[in-house]
This record gives sequence, structure tokens and C-alpha cells, in this order.
Amino acid sequence: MITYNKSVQVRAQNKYGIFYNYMVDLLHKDGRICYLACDTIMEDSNMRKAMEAYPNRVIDVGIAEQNAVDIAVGLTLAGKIAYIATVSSFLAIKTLEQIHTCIAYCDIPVRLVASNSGTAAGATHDAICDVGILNAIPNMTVIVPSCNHHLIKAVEQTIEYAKPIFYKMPQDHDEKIYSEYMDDAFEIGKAMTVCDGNDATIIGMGAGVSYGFNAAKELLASKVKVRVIDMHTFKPIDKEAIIKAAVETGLIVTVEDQNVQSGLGAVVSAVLVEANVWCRVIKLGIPDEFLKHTENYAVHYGYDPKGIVHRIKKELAGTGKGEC
Amino acid sequence: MNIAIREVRYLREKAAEIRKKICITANQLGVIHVGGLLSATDMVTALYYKYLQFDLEKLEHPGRNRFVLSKGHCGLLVYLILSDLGLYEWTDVCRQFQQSSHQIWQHAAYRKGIEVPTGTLGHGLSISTGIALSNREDGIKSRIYCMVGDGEMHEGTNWEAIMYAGSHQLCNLVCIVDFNQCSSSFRHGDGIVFNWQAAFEAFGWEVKVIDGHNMHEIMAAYDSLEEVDFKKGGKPVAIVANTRKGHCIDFMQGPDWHVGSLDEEKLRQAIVCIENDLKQKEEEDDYL
Repeated sequence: MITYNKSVQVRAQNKYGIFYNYMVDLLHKDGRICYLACDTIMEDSNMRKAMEAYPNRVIDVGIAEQNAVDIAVGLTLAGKIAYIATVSSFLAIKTLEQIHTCIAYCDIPVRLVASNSGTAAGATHDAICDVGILNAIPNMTVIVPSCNHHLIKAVEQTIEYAKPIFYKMPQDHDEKIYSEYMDDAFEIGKAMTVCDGNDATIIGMGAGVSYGFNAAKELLASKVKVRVIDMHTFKPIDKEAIIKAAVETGLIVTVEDQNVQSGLGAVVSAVLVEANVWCRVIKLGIPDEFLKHTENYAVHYGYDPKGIVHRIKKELAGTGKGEC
Repeated sequence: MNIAIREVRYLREKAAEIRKKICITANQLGVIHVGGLLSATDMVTALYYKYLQFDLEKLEHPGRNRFVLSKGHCGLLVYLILSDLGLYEWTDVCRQFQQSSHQIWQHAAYRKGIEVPTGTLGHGLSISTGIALSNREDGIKSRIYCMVGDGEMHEGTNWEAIMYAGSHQLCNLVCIVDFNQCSSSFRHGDGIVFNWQAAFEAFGWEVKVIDGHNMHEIMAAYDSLEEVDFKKGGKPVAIVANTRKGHCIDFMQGPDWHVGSLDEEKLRQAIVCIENDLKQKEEEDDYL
């Protein structure tokens, strides 16, 4: 039992290690930074050493997420910059009242960093509607980076940001889309174009960006040039990028590992309706249902690269675009 | 008259004055959380007029003592006191109160002088824990006083905070339990029996149990708090104040007066009760 538990922790540590180490660096550099965990600071880790060095700033409250969020509010009210990192289903759902009333209503710039958001750890731990719920709360900023590299960029550039932020940790931690392919200056609310094209647009969020990017590469073989947009800021969303893509490409495919009813698909559709711009929108992601056990959710629900390619080819058939 | 008695009398008179204003408010503005406001009045009055060393010029000073009213439905008590201390115009508060869309209403909303907006219960103690941790990190030796209601203690988050603060020896944190014996719908003992002293002690807190309407005992409890010394450490302190909903107003005892308003006749009776209570306590002092 202990061995199993430890192996799970080691996997989590490796998966999010870049972020934890970045936080440790921040703790060393800036006396305002606090880090709160909920029974997630491993023995022998760098964060454990930081906790010993800064017992008032590295705080493991135990399995008490609601307490962690309100303690972070108190720390922030007293001048600190507090980050809480834990599993999203606990951080964004169990603590919803704390987020709604103590953080968002009061506009307290607490930083919530959610791991296992989306499809990651089984039905009770999957958070397929966390960003959708937080999108409905005024004052919240919701950032969904596509890779760890980009998560660090986002955190780095928002240390002084005066609003509460929810960051969703990426699942595919090995993806390095930006470091290999482009300059990746991060700006809140400004979507990034991963690759350009005018036959269709894939708007990805989180894991959806790499799925979309890989689909776009595959579609090139059929001479279909697809624009891929990384909607890393879910709230406030970049309306301009959405409207421009609709006008210039005529087909939008949203890709996310969230419930499309409240996630990116829903918001992109709403932006276009509000702007009175007609455009076909295909929402790929989790349908409005709880997850059943499956090997691969992206494949099961058709939002993996193959599924995206299939849907785009089907939509473009007979349009004269590419060789569909 | 010695200084200690003079201070007791000053705070007691101030508390009676605040009580009268609460009753006038229940007459002028309609239904308010009158029962809980009256049970908390003595403890909170002593804080604002003595122990917080409240200073209008230092509302944002990092070294200030802080009061967090976790039982936020009694926010009017703090608005009333802050008005009396000159932060707000009371007529302005009343006018805003009557506009239901305005932030000032029954609960402690986000506004100048309010350390933490509360109203939904079970947050204040955790937030106070965060402030206490930050102060300890910065070596700020002021205190954070957090008042919770006994009904509010049904919320599990309080116990998360109590466990953490006790385990981590947050000696700059004081939790005041306004043990007024009843919540909105039942009397304590009907549904939940609780030994506050044993519970807090089990979580590593020091506990003082007092009569929350006896100014001598209130001051003794606050005076007995040791100077904050982070090097020496120490336990957080819980002051369990035995109080009564609608204290000293004869027709206002028990859960029926969790919320209520007063017509002219009831207001007149309430004012008489408050004056009689004050008079009786002063006579007791004289006798002593």
C-alpha cells in the first residue's frame, strides 16, 4: 500500500516537477511568496527543504483544501503572494465557496494552481468542468497553459497581477510546442497563433493545443492549411482572435479536455453569436456526461489528432479546400 | 474610583449605548439579526474601545491589531461601532442599508474598516490563521481577534483552522466564541451538545471561559493574554464567552429573536431594559 502511494507521488512529482522547482526558486528570491499544499509535499523534495527553511511561507495544511484557500486569503490580505497547488477537483470544486466569496468577491489576488484538471485520475478526481465553473465567477482570471514550459511563463509574468488567478497545470508535460517552434511571449488575454492557415481554425485550450497542432501537421499532407490558436487565457477570452478566425477561415474547431457545454466550445460559440458573426463551430472535447472508464478519453471522444483530422476533412469535403 | 473600575464603567456604558443604537436600528430599518448583535456587543465593544487600540489614521497599518467578525451576519455591530468612532456617518450607513442593492446590508461587506468581508459562515477563522502566519513571518507582534458564533461552529472549516492553528502554535491568534446558546432554529443542547473547552484544548489551544456580559471578566480575559513572543511560542487562545441572545432585554431571549424588528412600544421597553441592566451592574460595583 505504501509502495503504491509513493509511486503515485513520485509520478506526480516528476510530472509537475518543473513547476515545484520554479516555486522553490521563487520562495528563495522573494520573501512575499507563500506556497500552500494539501498533504502533497514529499519527503526529500526541494519543497520539503524549503518548508524547513521557511515554515511560515511553505504551508502544508494537510487534507484540508478549504482551510488552505482561506489561509491564502489571510496571507494575501497581510501582504503576501500566496500560491496553492493541489488536485483540481478539490481545489476548484470542494473550495468553490471560498473561491467565490473570499477570493473573487473580495478580489483578493490569490493564485490557485490546479493539477489533474481534465481527464487524469479517475471519475472522482477528474475535473472536467472546473474552468467552466470558474468562468462564471466575476473577477476570476483563468489560465490554461498547454505545457509546463508555458505554465512557468504564465506564472512568471503574473506574479504582480492584481487579480485572483486559476492556473490549470498541463497534463502532457513533455510537450514543448513553443520552445521548439516559436517565440512565446505570454500575455494574459492574448491568444497565440501556433501556426497559420486559412482553410479552418483549431482553437485549442490546454491539452487541446498539442492535439490541434499535431492534427494541423497531419492535415498539411492533404494540402489543408489550418490555423491553430492557443487560447491559454480562458478568461478573459480573446474575442478578437476568435472573430478574426471565423471571418478569415469560416470553420472553427474547438479542442479541450473539458465539458464542451461550459468550456471553450461554449464560450467561443457565445462570442460569435454576440458579435453576430456566422461561422460553423465544432466543439470537440468531453460531452455533457461524467467520464466512464476508458483507455484514452481523447480517442474515445474523438478529440485526439486523428479525431480532429477526421472531423475537419468531413467538414471541408466538397468545399474545394485542400484535397478533402 | 480606581482606574480599573472607571474603565469597566466606560466600556459598559459604551456597550449600553451601542445596544440602544442596535434597538433603534431594529426600529428604523426593520428586521435585523438583533439577537446575535446583542449577545456579541460587550466583547466587541471592549475590543474596539480599548484592546484593539483602534486608530482611524492606521486602518491600513501592517502592525495594527485586527478584528475579524466571522459571524458576519452581525456586521451591523461593526458598522455601528465604526460610525461611533468616526469612520462612517451613521445616517449614511442607514440610507445605504435601505438600498438593498448596496453593499452595506446585514453582513460585513467589503468596505473601509472591515478587515474581512464575511456573511457566509466558517471563513473568518481560516483567514485569520493566514493573517497570523503572515504576521509571524514578518515579526509583527499584533493580535488577530476573530469572533465566531456557536452556531457557526457547526461549519467544518472552523475545525480545520483550529487544528492547524493549534498544531502550529499561532500565539498571536485569539478566537472568541460568542456562545449565545442558539442559532436560527434551535437551542444549543437540543441538537448539538458541546464542550467547547475540551474541544479547543484537544486541538492545542489555551481556553478561557467567561461570562461574555460581565465587563470585569471580559477585561480580565483580554488583559491576561500574554505578550506575543514568537521566539518563546505559545498556544492560540480561545475565549469562550457565555452570552445570551437578546441579552438584557426581557422579551428578547432565545432563538425567536435571531432576527427581528421593534415597533415603538417594544423599542421603549428595550431601552428601559438596557438602562436597568446598566444601573443594576453599577450598583453591584458600588456594593463591591
